[in-house]
Order: sequence, then C-alpha cells, then structure tokens
Amino acid sequence: MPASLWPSWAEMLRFLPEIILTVAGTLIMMLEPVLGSRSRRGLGQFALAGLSAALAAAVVADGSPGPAFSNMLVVDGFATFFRVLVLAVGILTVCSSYPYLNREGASSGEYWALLLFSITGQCVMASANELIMVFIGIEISSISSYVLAGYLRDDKRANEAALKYFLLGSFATAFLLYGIALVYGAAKSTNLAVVRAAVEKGEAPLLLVGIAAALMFVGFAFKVSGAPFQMWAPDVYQGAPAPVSAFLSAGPKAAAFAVFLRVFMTAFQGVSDRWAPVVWISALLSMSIGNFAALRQSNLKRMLAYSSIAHAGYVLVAMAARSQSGSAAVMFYLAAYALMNMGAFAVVAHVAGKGERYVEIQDLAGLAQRQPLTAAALAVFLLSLIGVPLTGGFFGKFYIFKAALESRLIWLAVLGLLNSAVAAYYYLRILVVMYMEEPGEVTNGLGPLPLGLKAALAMPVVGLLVLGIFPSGLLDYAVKSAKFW
Amino acid sequence: MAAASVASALLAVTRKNPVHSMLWVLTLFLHVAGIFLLLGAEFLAAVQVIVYAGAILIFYIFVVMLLDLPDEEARPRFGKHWPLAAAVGLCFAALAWLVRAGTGVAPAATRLAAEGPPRGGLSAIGMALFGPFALPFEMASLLLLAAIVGAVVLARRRAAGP
Amino acid sequence: MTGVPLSWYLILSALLFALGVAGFLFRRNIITVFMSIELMLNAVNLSFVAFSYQLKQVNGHIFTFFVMVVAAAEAAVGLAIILTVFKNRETLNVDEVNSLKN
Repeated sequence: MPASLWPSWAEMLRFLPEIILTVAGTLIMMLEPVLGSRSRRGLGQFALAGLSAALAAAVVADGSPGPAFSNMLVVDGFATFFRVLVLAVGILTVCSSYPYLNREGASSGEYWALLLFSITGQCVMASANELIMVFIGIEISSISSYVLAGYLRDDKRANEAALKYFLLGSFATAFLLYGIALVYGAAKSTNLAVVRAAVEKGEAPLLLVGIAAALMFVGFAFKVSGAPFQMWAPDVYQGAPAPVSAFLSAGPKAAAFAVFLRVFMTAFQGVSDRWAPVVWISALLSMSIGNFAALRQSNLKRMLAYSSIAHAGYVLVAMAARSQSGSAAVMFYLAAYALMNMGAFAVVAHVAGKGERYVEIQDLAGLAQRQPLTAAALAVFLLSLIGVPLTGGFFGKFYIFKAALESRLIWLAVLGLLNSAVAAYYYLRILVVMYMEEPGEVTNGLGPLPLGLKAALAMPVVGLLVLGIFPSGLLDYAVKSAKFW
Repeated sequence: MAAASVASALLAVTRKNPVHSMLWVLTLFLHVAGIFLLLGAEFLAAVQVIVYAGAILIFYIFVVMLLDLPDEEARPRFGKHWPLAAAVGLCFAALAWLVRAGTGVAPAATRLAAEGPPRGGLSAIGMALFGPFALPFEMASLLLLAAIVGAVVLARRRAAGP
Repeated sequence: MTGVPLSWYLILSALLFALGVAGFLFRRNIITVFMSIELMLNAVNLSFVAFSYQLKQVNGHIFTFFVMVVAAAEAAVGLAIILTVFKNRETLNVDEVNSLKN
C-alpha cells in the first residue's frame, strides 16, 4: 500500500470544510426529531453556523496547501477560492430561504441538510484532483439539488422543474462519464496530472483524447448551462422555489465552472488549440441566445434564467482565452456574478409573496416608492448585471474582455460587448418599472422585509460595491492562484 | 464466445423498441454482467446482477406498478407482445448457457493475465477501495445518504399542515 | 486472451451508449427515458471494464463500482421525483409535462 490507511492530520485539515459540512448536515437531521417545534426553527441558524465554520476552515486550510488522500484532492489557491465562493453562496441561500420557508409553511430539517450536502459536493468539486472525485462531487451536488428544486412537492411547477433538472442532469452526467472512461483508456489514469503528462508527451492516442474532451465538454456545458445545452435552465429556474433558483444559478454553476476550468486547463492543456474553437462558438451562442430570449420574457424568474445563460456565455469567453489572466477573469466574474444573482433572486423571493404568485416584471411597479431600500438594492444588482462602473459586474466584464483581447479573440470580444448592450435594455426595463411607475396592488400589499432577507440583500450589495471600487485585492488573489501546475 | 455474447447483447438492445422495454433492459444488464465475467471482473459481474438487475430493475417495476398506469398505456402491449416475452425467456436460457460457457473461458484468461498486477478479483478491489480510493468510498456514502433523504423528502405523505 | 480485441468492446459500448441517447431523445414515457440513462451508464461501465482489462489495472473496476452506486442513488431520487409528478398530474408523457412556458 502506498499510503497508510490512517490519513495524516495535515490531510484532515485540508479536508476539514467538507467534514464540518457533513457533520452539520447529519446533526441537523438527528436533532430535528429531538427538538420541540419552537427550537426547530433554530435549525436554520445551525446550518448557518455550520457554513460559517466551514468557511473559516476553508481559509485555514489554505495555509497548508497540498494534495490529500492519495492525490484525490488538492488544496491550492484555486480550490480555496471556489470553496469560499460556494460557502458564501450557501450562507446567502440560508439567509434568503429562512423567511421563504416560514412563509410557505414548509420549513424542515431536511431542507438544510440537503443544502449542506449539496455544498459539500461543490467543495469536493472545487478541490478535486482526480476525475473520480470530480464525478462524485458533481453527483452529490446534483442529487441534492434535484431534490431541492422539487422541494415544494405539492407545487406543480416545482415538480416539473425537478423532473427536467433531474433528467437532463443525469443525461449530462452520462456524457461526462463516457468522456472520463475514454480519458482513462487513453491516458491509463484518471489523475489530472498524469493525464496531462500523457497528453503532452503524445502517449495518449489523439483521436481518443479528442472524443473524450468533446464528451466531457457536453457534460460540463450542461452543468454550466452553456449553449447549445442550455434548454433546461429557464424551466428549472422558473419552477424551483426562488431561493433554490438563486442557489442553483450560483453555487453548482460556479463549482461546475471550477472543474470545467481545472480539467480543461490541466488534463486537456496539451490539445487546447483543438477545444478552443468549440468554447468560442459555445460562448457566442450562449450570450446571444441568453440575451435575445431574455428580451422577450415577462416572467422575472425566467428572465433571470436566460440572463444567467448569457452570463455563462461571458465566462466562456474568458475560458476561450486559455490564459492565466483568462482563468483569473473567470474566477473574478463568477464571484461578482454569484453576488448579484443571489441578490436579485432574493428580491424576487420577497416580492413573489406566498405561493409565488407575483413573479411578473410588472409586479415590481412602484417598488421604489413603497420600499426604497429594497428597490435600491435591486438597482445595484441590475446595474452590476449590466456592468456599470463602480459595481463588481463592471470589473468582471472588463477583465473578461481584456483577457479575450490579449489572446487575440477580437471578434468574440466585440460580439460580447454588443451583447452586453442588448442586455442593458432588459435590465433597464425593470429599473424603469420599479422607479417610474405608480405602485400597483402587489407593491402596496408588500409586507416588511424579514431579517433574513435583509441580510441576503445587504451582504451582496456591500460585496459588489467593494469589488467595484477595490477590485485589485480579489483579482490579485485570482491571478496568483489561476496557475495550474 | 465473446463475439456471440456481444451479438446477443446487441440483439437485446435493438429489440428494446417495444414499450415493454423493462425486461429487455434486464436482459441487457445480464448480458453486460456476462461480458464483465469474460473480462475477468468477477466481483463487478456479481454486483451488476445483484444491484442492477436485482435492485434497480425491481425498483423500476415497483414504481410502474405503484403508479398503476392508465389502461390505454399498459394493456394493449401486454396482449400483443407475448411472443416477445417468450423470446425474452429464450434469451435468458441462452444467456445462462453463454455465461456458463463464459466462465469456462475466463479462468484461462485470468491465468494469462495473472503475471500483471492483480485485477478484477475481490481482494484487489477491496485493497484499492480502502487504500487509495478510501476518500471516494466515504464520499459515496454521503451521496447515498443524500439520495435517501431526498427520496424520503419527496415521496412522503403530505405534511399535516404547518 | 479470449481472442476478442479491445476495440470490439469499445464499439459495443459506443453502440449501447448511442442507443441510450436515442432512447432518451425519442421516447416519450418518462420511465423509459430514465431507463435510457441507465443504458448509457451501462455502456460506460463496459468501457471502463474493457480498458481496465487491457491495462491490467483495478482502477477501472473501482470506477465502475462507483458508477453503480451513483446509478442506484439516481434511481431512488429520480423515481421519487417521477412519483411526485405523477401524483400531481396523472401522466407520464414527457410532452404533457410542459406547464412552464410563456
């Protein structure tokens, strides 16, 4: 046996965030039947505490970078970045789910447990160094998310969202797996470093590697909702409960981009001039389909879903650059995107009311007069989604197009900028409805903002403004850690 | 012999078209198990039969029965396709014969390959699972836990109110 | 050796996978669609075991083992989802589950 059966403490430390999350999730389920109905409400806070502890552990684990568990995992700057990102997304999700579930009368320990399990899977994805861990991480994350999407099981829309998410998600997994099988056959290993070495030395048959890369691309494109495999996203985001849609559009997507980037920038680095055109086309298609379809939506959640497809397209632009600055731009953009999208969905969750009856754009009419702070927060998110200066979204787009230009993807950058201009239209339309129109029935009947949602709005606003005014701190970290060996 | 097995597996799949496909998929699973045997993966062949054919397929059939498909979806196919059902039975018999013949071949193959590192056998898999692959193994248990919780959350009865 | 080259197993695996994809795309019964996914996973397993045999390694077997675990988990969750859908709509036809549109 190469490794001793009992892992060293350093390895345990590197794996600590996942351990904390798993223990917290299991504890929640064990505590639920024991506690009385009053203290059961505290389970949400317990989940929050678990996530915060895991966040701290992820930061501490960054102090001792290196591989763990026979090279299954690797903790480096890149892994830490995405772990912190998905844990932060988790914290925001808990904050916005808490009032939502109380309103729907559907609060239960399983929700928090599944959320924590899903985030555990995403942490594993972020630090996976072996295709088997990539696969298992993706599955833990997705299986929990399928259930979360259909959590309100008496709601027809949620059922349908869960069904579509599940069918297309497992379809994508099968493609991914077939790709992994061919990689294994071609490179004789599923360790990313070994695969990379085999591909670069030309030991692996090029045809097999090409097919494998194509199949894995299909699988990942499904997971990040990049065109032409984006069709599940609108239905799922529209049908799932609003806090879950927020979570799906930020957490699993960021983690999927993390493994996407890691696999393609390490294992398939040697054949990168072959896959770059495919990513190029997919980026362009995602941006165009997402933006032009979003123009025609009147449902807020569906519009945000199409816009999230478009944003996946921007991130793919940075990936097509195939450079260190491109990877850093991906990381920076995903962080900013997670904040603004979580925030926007939190506002939707608030306005929608019990049973999510009010999810049309028109329902926001006059929000600025009734709840000026909520409206201001939504305005910040929308401006950031457009990419207006002083918000995190601006620098995100700026770094992406800068990276594209450095790699001479001039046409892609130009088309991307044109797309951003189109996108500005539909985001501004919401602002107009919110600020210019008289309050309607919905905004007049709106209750006060619950504490959880306040937190779920305040944190992203602060985060986006910090990223928009002092982007260099995060960007430096991203550039430093976007090195793959 | 393997070629015959390959051909029969193909046959099982191409005839999958009738909606009665559940049983065809079952034959396919068993065929794949046979091929695993030919490839020296005895443990996986056993798991394939027990988990796939035994557990997962039964699960499917349970759900189909539980859902009590409307008559027009289920009944006509029952009557029309009884010859196919007979064919399935024949396939089973052929398969059983094939697998027996297959195991007759496999030991020779194992001996040939035995000079390399051990593969396929129970002990080799066990050593790998609890050695280098211990972490994925543990994570798989989390995966199953998540799946159990999820299935219970979705399928339990409506809560009695808030 | 059994006298069958590796490529045969790979071709068989590719065929099974393709049939699974076709089943997924063309069948209209949700359960059959779901089963097509199982078919695809089986095709993948076959590739893993065949490669493992050729490389004289045990890693492919381990991978197959995990694929089976995942298939079981997916079956549990998937069938639970299908049950809830059926309870709410009384249909298993993919085309009829389409209320989310504009």
